[in-house]
Amino acid sequence: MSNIQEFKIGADYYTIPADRFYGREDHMWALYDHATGNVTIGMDALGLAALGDLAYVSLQPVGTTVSRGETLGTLEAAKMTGDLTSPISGEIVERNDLTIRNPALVNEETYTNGWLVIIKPSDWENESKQLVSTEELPVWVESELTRYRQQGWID
Amino acid sequence: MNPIRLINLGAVPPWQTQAIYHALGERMDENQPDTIVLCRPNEPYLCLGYHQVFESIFDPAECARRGLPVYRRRLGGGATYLDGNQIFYQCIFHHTHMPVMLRDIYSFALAGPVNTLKRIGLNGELRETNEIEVDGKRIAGTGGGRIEDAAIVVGNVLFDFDYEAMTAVWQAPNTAFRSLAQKALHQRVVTMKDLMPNVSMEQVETMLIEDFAKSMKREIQPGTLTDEEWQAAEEEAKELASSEYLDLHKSDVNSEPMRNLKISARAFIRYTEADVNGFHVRGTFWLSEEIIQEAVLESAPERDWKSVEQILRGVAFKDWQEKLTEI
Repeated sequence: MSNIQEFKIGADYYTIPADRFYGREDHMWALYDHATGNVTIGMDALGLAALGDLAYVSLQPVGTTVSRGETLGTLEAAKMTGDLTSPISGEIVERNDLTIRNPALVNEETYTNGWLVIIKPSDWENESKQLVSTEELPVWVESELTRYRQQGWID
Repeated sequence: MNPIRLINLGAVPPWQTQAIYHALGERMDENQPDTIVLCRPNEPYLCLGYHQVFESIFDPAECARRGLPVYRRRLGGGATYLDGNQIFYQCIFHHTHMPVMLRDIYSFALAGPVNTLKRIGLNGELRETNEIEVDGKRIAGTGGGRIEDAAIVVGNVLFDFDYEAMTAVWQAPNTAFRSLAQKALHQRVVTMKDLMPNVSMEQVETMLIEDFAKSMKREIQPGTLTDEEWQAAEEEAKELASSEYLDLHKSDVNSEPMRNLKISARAFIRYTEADVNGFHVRGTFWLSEEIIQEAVLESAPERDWKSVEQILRGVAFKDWQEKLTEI
């Protein structure tokens, strides 16, 4: 994996690889597969840094059609729940049941085995333009870190 | 920033104690007031954490026999037995008015209740991110979640606790699990009745309001719910108690009886099985920071494990099988 953006929160270092797109507010990553035209979705390290270790993950079943911004599933960390929102529209064609059985996988192998679902996109060309691209990544990461500092008292 | 709206409901039917904060969360936007709800149920009921599987946690027959309604909340945490001996506080804020980091959200929302305990004269502290304890014992439950644009943190203060009812409705894998859990609950959970029997609920409510205002650095003004909010809460109540909602996550995981139960920040009951030296051993353990405090072993074929159970005290849970092999 090349072009990795690294950042620090407190004493911990996190990475944001530049080979994929990111949801601006939901901290979901989207990796387009040129061979199949499908998009693998996961949660990024900035979002996970805010949550800590996940205790539960639930995901919509295969075959579910989601619109951009709708829920793909839910998560829970330290007794706090939240929605996993879809950065793109399309049909869920595969889901990673390993993350339901072992949510720690999302924290530990965030950009590889910790993926959540694979979506057959309905409008990748247009919707991907609304996501954070490789070129925008450094500025977006910095602005999110600023927001975390302002709203979250991080070091 | 605008004042926080205070909704002090007093003793109300169980559905209101769950449905109102859900409804306020659903309707939250930048024009809605941040709200703190104080209330307590006028009848006992059970509440399931969002991701828990009903059949793994509660024995439906026992719940029905006791006439205990069950609601599933959209917030995290474990199953709870709730009744009128507990004061509930529920903070429903626009998410931009709470910190981003989860641990900071809890610090922000729970500083008030912790300070109230301190002002009463108790050694209240926030441990393990979100557990409010007094001298290492749990005196409250907490949970939270993001519902639409609202960040919600809820909690309670235990004035008394019905240990018997809580343990009776659990779907325990065996008798040892239930009895160890009951013992741990008695030892690791404490109530106002045990520590400060002369402090009234009204006194604590007044102090909570003062301490929320102080810790959140915002004015708190008493308010009322609008007709639309009441209506939305009635709709929420139907969903939270519906069989469809209670059956959530059933297909995601194995619906066996629970094997792991959190009693307090540092007390867990765990059940596991293993084949050791020709025995199929079923072990139930009381753990503190992954160290065995107490063990109950059963096996097929049967044998007396009493001396082994003593040896396992103080052993790391991950080493229990190895220890058995050595013995």
